[in-house]
Amino acid sequence: MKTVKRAMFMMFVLSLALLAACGGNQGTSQSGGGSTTTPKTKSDSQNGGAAQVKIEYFQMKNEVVDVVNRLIEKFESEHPGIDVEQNNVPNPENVWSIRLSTNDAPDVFTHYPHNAVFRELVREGRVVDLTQDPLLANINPAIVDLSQIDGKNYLVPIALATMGVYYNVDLFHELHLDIPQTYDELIQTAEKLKAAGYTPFYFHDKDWNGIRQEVVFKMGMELDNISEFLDDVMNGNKHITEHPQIRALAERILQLREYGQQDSLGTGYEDALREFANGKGAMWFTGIWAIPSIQDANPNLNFSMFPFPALNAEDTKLQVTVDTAIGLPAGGKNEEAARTFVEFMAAPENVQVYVDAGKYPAAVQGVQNNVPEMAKLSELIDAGKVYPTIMSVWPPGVAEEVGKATQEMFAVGDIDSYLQNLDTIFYNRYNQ
Amino acid sequence: MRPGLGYFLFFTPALVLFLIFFVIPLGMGVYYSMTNWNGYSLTYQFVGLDNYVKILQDSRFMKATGFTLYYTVLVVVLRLAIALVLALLLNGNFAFRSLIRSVYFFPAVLSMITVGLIFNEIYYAVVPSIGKALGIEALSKNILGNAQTAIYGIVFTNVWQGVAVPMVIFLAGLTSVPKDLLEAATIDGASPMQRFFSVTLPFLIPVLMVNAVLAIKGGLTVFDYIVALTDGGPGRATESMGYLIYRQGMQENKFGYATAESIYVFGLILIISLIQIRLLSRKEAGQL
Repeated sequence: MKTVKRAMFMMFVLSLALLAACGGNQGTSQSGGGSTTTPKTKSDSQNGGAAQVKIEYFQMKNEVVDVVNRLIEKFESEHPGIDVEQNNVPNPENVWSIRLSTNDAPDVFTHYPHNAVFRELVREGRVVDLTQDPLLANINPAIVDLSQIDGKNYLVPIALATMGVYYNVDLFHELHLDIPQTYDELIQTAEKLKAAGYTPFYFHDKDWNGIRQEVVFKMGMELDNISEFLDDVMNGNKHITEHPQIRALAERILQLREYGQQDSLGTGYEDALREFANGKGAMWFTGIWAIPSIQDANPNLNFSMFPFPALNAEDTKLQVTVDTAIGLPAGGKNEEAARTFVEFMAAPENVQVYVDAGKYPAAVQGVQNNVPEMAKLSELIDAGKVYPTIMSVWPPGVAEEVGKATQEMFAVGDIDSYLQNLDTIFYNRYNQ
Repeated sequence: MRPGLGYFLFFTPALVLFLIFFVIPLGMGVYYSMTNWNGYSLTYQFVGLDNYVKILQDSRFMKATGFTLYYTVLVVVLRLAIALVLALLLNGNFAFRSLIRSVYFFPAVLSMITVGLIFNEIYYAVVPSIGKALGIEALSKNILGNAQTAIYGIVFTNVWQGVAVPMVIFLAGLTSVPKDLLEAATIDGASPMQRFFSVTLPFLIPVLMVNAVLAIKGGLTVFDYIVALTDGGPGRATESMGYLIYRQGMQENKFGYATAESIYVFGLILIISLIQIRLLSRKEAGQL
């Protein structure tokens, strides 16, 4: 009997070992990402199901489930023959890849043109080529270019994301501080805040993902020809330390921590958000996605955003990523109905509803920015002072390694070994 | 009907389920571990034992193995020791016995993610204020943000929640200790310590074995506490084997490689389990 029991325990242990590899993606909390499951949404009943085409809209953003439902309702009333079902799951990128690899692709989906897995599946011919497609007619041409993969378009960009410095407007007024236009002015502002007894910056360095976002953003803005340079490094032709500006950038990223709260490595994204919302930090660098959460956490906080300043004011620009973009799977069964739905979702009046609810900059022409906190960032976008993320050609896993290596650098403060670590991450990566 | 056929009918459903959900996936896992499949592509190549060779030279995997083993030792020792002490304390007759017992069992019914959120908050806000007030340097910052101390934050959380179940198993085991033996020992002048080590403990060996197996399994396959508390950070300081397999398989698209790692973990657990069963069954046989 005892042996049987032991054997059973061992089986249990073994199956868990397997589960660790196979099922780990299902119920776990991803920091920053969507975590609530939303049941499929609503509605046939109207037409009794006669000759209805049913399509699934697999969209990856948890925070827009409600507004998407409202848009679907409007769509269905305009197109009674098409029934749209929204599907929003936790860990959507993995679910999407797995569904594609099991030939169960959703009829319409959102994805990110800079996503490494998406790009690889595009190259395998799994997504409809939309280059020069009428569906792109309304889209801002700069954004159409920026979302290309190997010179072609596979997604219809709807909304954008970018990052900037959140600041406490009342505090800036109280100390008569202007919005810094250069990096040196930013440091002077931080000095003044520090002298007045405030914490100039809040950082959420416990989350490697936030650090990764910051490093990628700043590398793209401040290092000349960084994409070509990293390509050379990943092909094994150069080393990281050969870039003339990279050490100074690393030093600046580390220098900024001197103006942070006491324990930035112990502070997660949610913690930093709450502290900033409660007026503890004067500035906080993160994405525009925090705007609604800050307003929820403290409706009375008077805050706004400014672009992170470059060394010279005229070099200040914004890294823009396509944050909502809709695509179609190759060989989809309901492609005609799906196209009708994409056309509807990309129409300016519907994009307006979408970006107002989600508080995003729009990728579509004829849509206004109604989010005052984003005004200074929108100016740069309108002026075309944007650049794509340098991360889109990185093999999977590299971004995380960069985030974690930088986190280690914050803990130890050693720039030399940091650059060495970066070199280990990037050098010859394409050939491994 | 011959009896053999009857037996066969009875165990067939279990056998089929076992084949489908255990043997076949395990076989497929072994197969995938010898490919370079990325987890979603339609094509992949068979690479033989390449992955296995690479893993042996992979410092990240070795570091995760070291972390996991150290973590397991800490968790097993603390869980078993604290659970046993609590069980002994709660075994007596006292007022509000069931209520107090349920209080100690309560952590076990909380969802892991809830516990993670609670402890994240405790380590972020509560512990540092206490540390500052008492002037303890190590506790005045978030211990999860420091590569040296993060592991103890995870261990503490795991033990806090993980003590409940072994405690209940120990309590059940304590009912099997014959009262007359304890009384006889008392009459013979045995001290409480002697009574525990010579009478109670031998009767607890079977449940101790069950608890040890469970605790070691929990330690070696630790994953959720890490995701909820540190996400493997700071840097790579708290990457366990389970976490590493998840990251490389699901996030870094090295599915074949991650599967090969999980086969190594399987081997490691197999060896540890065999040693454990040997040791404990010998003890059991010797002492009972």
